[in-house]
Amino acid sequence: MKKFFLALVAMFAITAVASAANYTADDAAIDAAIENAIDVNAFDLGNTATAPLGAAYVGLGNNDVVSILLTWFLGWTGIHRVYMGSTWWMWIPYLLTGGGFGIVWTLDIIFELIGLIDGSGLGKYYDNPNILMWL
Amino acid sequence: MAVVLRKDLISAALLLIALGAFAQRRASADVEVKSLADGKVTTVTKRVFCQGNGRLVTVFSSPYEYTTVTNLKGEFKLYVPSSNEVFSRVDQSFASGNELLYLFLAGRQDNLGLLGMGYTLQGSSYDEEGYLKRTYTTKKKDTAPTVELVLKDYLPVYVAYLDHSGNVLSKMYLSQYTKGSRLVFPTRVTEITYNKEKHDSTVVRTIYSSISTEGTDPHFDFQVPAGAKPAGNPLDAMKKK
Repeated sequence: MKKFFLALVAMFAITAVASAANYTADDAAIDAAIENAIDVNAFDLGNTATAPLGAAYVGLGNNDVVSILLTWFLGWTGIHRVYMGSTWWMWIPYLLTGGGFGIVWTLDIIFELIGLIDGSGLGKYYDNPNILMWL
Repeated sequence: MAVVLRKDLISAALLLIALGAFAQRRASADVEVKSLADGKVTTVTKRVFCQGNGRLVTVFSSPYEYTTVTNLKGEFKLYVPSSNEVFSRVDQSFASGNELLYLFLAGRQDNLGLLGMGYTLQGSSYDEEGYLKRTYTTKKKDTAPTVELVLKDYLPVYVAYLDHSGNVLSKMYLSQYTKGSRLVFPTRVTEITYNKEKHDSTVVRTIYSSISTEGTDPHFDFQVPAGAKPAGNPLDAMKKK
């Protein structure tokens, strides 16, 4: 009973701390709440699902392979930048200059390939509002 | 003409090599998930084996021993070795794109797969402490309309799902990043989900350990045995000894 009460107090503390406008959790309070909670063996498939994000995943819309293929074949139009979540008008400077006279287009391909090869992926280029996404 | 053709062939070969290397990336990790609600805690332990092409094998060790295989399309199989039974289902909630290890392996740490979920970026700004805050929205009805994603040094540290009134539905903290030779990954993830009706919350703490980018473990290529019997209820199959 004491353990249950302590766990409830700790849960309240977690909620209070987590409501504050900061971006770090109170790990000590969370660990204490878990430590003081009653272990149950209730099996719930929801616990074992792979979803860590709390929202339904509805498909792979943004894809590194698609991004690099768009860059490769249509990069001079800037369509790959729009696909990768940049501002909607990003295609205009690309199209007007032929992908920065081919230079920006080529560097986009090179940096994307580097991202794929070194394993860092293209994540850093998504949602990027800069005309030169790799700067 | 021949020189131009040769350049094209070399470029195409480089592209194929890069795409192939990306698809073959592999990582595995031990995972302990503790879920806390109403003063009670449940524990799930497993090891995940993730590939760059989205194939995800998860070997659960407690509370029951079983193995799941899934991919980006949510083509999910659950195999119970003790009874040699298999449960199959196609469900996006089981898709490997939901697995944090896959998101980092695939380089989606920058948006945590939100773009793939149908969210669009509405704005971003830096605060005084150097945190980059991005706001995503969606019009889909089955998910939170607004998500706030906060990054520090281009790594996600905080995600909040908000309702139409701006109230937090759930929030997630990602911390204790490990920087291996090929994978940067948070070893501690805490998710807090608020239950407005019960005036309560659920806390899920996930600890990742023994993270490896060695792709030689045979579990990466695990296949459900051809002779496995179809299971009606996976939980019943797991309880069989």
